[in-house]
Amino acid sequence: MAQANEENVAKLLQQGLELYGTGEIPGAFMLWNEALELDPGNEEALDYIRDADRRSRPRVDRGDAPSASIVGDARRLAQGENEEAALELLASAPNSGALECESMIELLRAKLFRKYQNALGDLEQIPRVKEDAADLQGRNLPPSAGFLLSMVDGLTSLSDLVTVSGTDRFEALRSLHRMSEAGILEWGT
Amino acid sequence: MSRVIGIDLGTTNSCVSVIENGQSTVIPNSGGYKTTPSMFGISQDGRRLVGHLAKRQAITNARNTVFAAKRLIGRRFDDPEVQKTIDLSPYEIVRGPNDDPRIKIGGKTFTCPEIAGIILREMKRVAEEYLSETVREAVITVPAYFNDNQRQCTKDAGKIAGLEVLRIINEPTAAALSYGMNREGDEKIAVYDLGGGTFDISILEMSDGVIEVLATSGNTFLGGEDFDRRIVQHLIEWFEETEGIDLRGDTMALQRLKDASEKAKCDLSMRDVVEINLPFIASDSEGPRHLNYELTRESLENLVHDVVEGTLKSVEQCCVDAGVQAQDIDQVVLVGGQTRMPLVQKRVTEHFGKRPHKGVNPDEVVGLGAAVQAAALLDSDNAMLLLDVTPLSLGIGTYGGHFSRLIERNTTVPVSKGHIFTTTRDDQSAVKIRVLQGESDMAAESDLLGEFVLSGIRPAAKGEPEIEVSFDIDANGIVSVSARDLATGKEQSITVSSTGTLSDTEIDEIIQEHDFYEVELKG
Repeated sequence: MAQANEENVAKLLQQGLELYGTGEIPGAFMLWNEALELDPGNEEALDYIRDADRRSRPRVDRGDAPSASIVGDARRLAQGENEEAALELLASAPNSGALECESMIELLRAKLFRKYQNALGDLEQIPRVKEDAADLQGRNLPPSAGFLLSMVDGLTSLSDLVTVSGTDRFEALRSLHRMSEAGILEWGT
Repeated sequence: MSRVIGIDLGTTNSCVSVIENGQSTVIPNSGGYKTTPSMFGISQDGRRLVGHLAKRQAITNARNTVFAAKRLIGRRFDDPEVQKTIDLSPYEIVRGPNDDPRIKIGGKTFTCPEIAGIILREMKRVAEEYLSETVREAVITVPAYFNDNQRQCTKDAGKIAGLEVLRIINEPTAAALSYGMNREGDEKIAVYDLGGGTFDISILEMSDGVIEVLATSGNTFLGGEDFDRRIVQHLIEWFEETEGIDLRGDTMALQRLKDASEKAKCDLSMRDVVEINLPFIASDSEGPRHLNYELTRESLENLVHDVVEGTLKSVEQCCVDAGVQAQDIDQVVLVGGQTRMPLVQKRVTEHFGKRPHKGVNPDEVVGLGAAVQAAALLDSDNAMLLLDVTPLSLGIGTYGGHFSRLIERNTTVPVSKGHIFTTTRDDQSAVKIRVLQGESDMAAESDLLGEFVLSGIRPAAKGEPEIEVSFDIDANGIVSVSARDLATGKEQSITVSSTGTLSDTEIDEIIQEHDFYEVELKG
């Protein structure tokens, strides 16, 4: 893809996210679809559309919006570049399914998705486990991370791990990123 | 001249071999594995996965992962075997337009030859990567009990994979070939094949380079995976007892338990005890929970003893069918990874009163035999050239619902045979030729392979016209039938193709579609 085109696609993806974050969901869909027209099969655009589509389906009970203070706290955390904490705060809010909360969750997920992708680098790299089994068991990891770890065999690439992770791409990348940050996994030279 | 590969297209795993410097060699895939799971899946993000990668998500993405499609190939949708597979499979199996079973995954419907073609294409790719040359021709193995239709569909699968299938040979025959057994004098051989998903026992008679399958028996729903399931079940119960957590509904935990159980089972063929460690298998309010368990060979044997005994019942039946006693068997060949288990070897030795043949890896023995046959096909002077036999009798349906055999089972192929039939009504102008396969005297109890009509018969009293029906079976066991009115010379013929076989156009379309996905195929 030519560089100008690539920049346009990135711009459309970002503008779509901004709209999605403010609740302008049809507008966001339109921009992501425009990005797809320029770059058919763009995984990021497809991810956004799939996720947004799933979340935009009618629910039986959307619940009341979470308290303004929770959303405000989450905004402040996000502005301070602490998107992880903001996401966790919103996800654990009593009414995280409310539209305002959900839109912000989506925006944060999209930002973190790109952050993880950049941090992980080339997904064709082969990860290795740095710690031995006894040390590992002293850590506090969720079963989904344990599942990913069990697939690390010195042959399987990060990209393949994401595919067989049993979770969506975002969760898989987040889990790999966290294990890399914690010194459990390593890759590269 | 490019090389011909031998492929063991298994229910659970497949294996590709070639003759190099006069020796048959199993070709490892890029991960170093000599066998590749016969699995195909479509991941949540639309990637097409083949082999090990497909297997690794087989439980967490069960509805979109196909395994054991070999149980379905060439069968009719209403076949009891297909119905049983439907009951046991997490993926969707639907009725195809030709009454054949088709597999629906990832929003797309696949024919069974197409699925087998995807596996074969992967095996072709593995061979090409290793040999650094394009491979175009192959010998493929099938179970001895496969009928004409199942063999035709396997050939179609080869075509889809971009391979010309030079020969289809029986798996037990290939196993015997890999030991060079047809070089020796007359003898009877028992091939005990306990694979991942099926158990086959065959008794072969070898004489003057002809290998005859005297009888086959077995269970198409019994194999190494039953052993794995017993271990998984045992671990689930133990974990529930000690930790109070039920893992049955957790697909990630089940995938890990299945992988670890299979590995522990394999390790216990060489050791008396293994440790199964599955950190972070679950979590509760107190934090992560780990599964750490010691499994001994003795406890594994207790878990699966009845499964092993079940195989021996089939062995007894096979001996009865072949008209031989266990002690009449000259050699016993073990096939399939599960036969590495010491308990299996012990019970087989006890049953036949002799030690099984050693020397060839049981996972690789069939694939190696296919490579031996492939090499023999290229060398017409080669003394190893194999003559095989028809697995089932062939004939046509005749008046009164009977089955008239033209070619008896165990006839050496290739073979041509004809017989004169006549009309059953005065002035009958057409006859319907129904091609049947099986051992029953009744047409309704036999497999219908195909049918066609010969018309334009001259008007005459019943019993007068002479219609010559000829059967040709080629070296692959593929059947062609023709009927000719001797008075008028009118003739009709078919190469038998009924359930599940594909037209050339359909095959071409599938090939084009898979070419599009080729870059996504993974080892």
